[in-house]
Amino acid sequence: MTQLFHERTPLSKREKEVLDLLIQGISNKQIAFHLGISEKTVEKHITSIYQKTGVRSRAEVVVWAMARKKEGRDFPHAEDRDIPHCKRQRAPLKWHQTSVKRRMPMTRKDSLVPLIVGVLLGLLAIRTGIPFMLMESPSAKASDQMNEILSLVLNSHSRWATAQGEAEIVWYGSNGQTQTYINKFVIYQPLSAYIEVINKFRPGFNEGVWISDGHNTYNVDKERKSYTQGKIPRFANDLSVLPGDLSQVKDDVVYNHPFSLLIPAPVKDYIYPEWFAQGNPSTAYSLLGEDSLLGRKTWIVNLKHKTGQATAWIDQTTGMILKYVQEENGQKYVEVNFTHLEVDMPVSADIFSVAPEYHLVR
Amino acid sequence: MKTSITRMVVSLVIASLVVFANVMIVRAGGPYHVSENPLSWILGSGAPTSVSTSSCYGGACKYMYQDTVDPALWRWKYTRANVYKWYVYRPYTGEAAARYWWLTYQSGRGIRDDWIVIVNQATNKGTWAYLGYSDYLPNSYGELRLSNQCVPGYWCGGLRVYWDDMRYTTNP
Repeated sequence: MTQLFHERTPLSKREKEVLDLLIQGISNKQIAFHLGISEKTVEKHITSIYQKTGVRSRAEVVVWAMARKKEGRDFPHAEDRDIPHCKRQRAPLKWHQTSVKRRMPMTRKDSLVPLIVGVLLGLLAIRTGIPFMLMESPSAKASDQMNEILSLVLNSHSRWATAQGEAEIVWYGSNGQTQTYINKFVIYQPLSAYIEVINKFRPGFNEGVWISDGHNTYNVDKERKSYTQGKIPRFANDLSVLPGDLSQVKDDVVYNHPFSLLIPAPVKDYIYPEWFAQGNPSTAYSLLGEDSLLGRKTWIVNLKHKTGQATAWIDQTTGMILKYVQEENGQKYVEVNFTHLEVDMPVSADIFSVAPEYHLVR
Repeated sequence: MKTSITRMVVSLVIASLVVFANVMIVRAGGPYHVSENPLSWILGSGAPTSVSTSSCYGGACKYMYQDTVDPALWRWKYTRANVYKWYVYRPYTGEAAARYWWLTYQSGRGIRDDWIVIVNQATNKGTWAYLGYSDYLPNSYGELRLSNQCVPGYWCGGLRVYWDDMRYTTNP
């Protein structure tokens, strides 16, 4: 079993800057562009980071950095970067962080000036209707919060490095029939995954196992003890196609997370929910409240579109959709419930390989 | 006076040519839009399958045709070179998971790049779904396929899988 956490030796300032961007899933090219250095220099820094942290890959370094973050150590930095698809909410500045100036005693004249200016500004504000604008602030606030939630969903993949769990997915037919599947998953970003689909009430029907070891993918046939193999395409790791923030979302094109495009199981849509924040102008979102699922805080968001509606319980930490109920043309279409979820835990690399007794089918 | 008019005319002609050339260069990369009209659908999981529209009787529609070996597979073939990014349209009537399979070929070198992408046509309706891009450029031509075979974990049997418009680009 390979454990993915290692002890750390100090990184240079530049290496920390590179690592800061790297853990947000940004390509070497974009890191180079942002820091104003060449791509080769970025590669050198990354090699040095690997050596100093004892990791062997990009994904491992993300796990390592997330572990540091959890421990509350100095990495990753709180400072944000204004780069598409890695924007994060900036922490509010605390009072003690503002610069403190030496106070001078105030004279009577000094106190009159701000008073007059204040009265004049107040009158101006009433004339321009600013108080009425402020009265409307609850809805403005709600829409700000919705934007914040949708931004989290759009960047969900940058909020976790490893994830494992289980979800139950029930499909509803038009004549009252249902089909229920259990989806088990272990994912190690960016490109390793184990996904198993089990039919809850009809064992063996429409089931499957899909594995990606970071280089190849394997479609496993458990009954025949065989598998087919394919090479992971470049697009699977190209996050540049994803909209970085809501302003980049297009009306007519929806980009799923590129790695999720490869996963042939419905659970991918809820682990990688970037599609939920995208769509055409007829889509309307509303925040219904908050809830706790699997011991995790969630936002309940309703989405209405031309032919139906859906309600999603969005994990406030990872942005994943932990529960999802969709109706189409007034009828229930699907219900998804995560029954277990762990994130940023160590992962055994063994799970991403096909058992030796299975044979390759060409 | 005559000279300056001539100069102006020549300048205008050159400017128009430059604009035209730029537009052509931009358009050369697409996106190219291919519309299968009217919209067709196949019922999920049954084989042999036939599509709903009369223009597709006999296995040959406007652009797509039924595979002779695997009747559950419908192919949409192009002869344009350097097909790069792929998109498919999700109609408002979408209800099932569709198994799209795109391929690009390099004739003569025996290189084939292909990937299967599952798109749930019941979500994000009325939008284009991105299906990824080819690792190999230049390539000789590309092909998009659609199968009504069940996808593990999704509803299996009876729902319609739609074959709607697709589009692609030819440049990175």
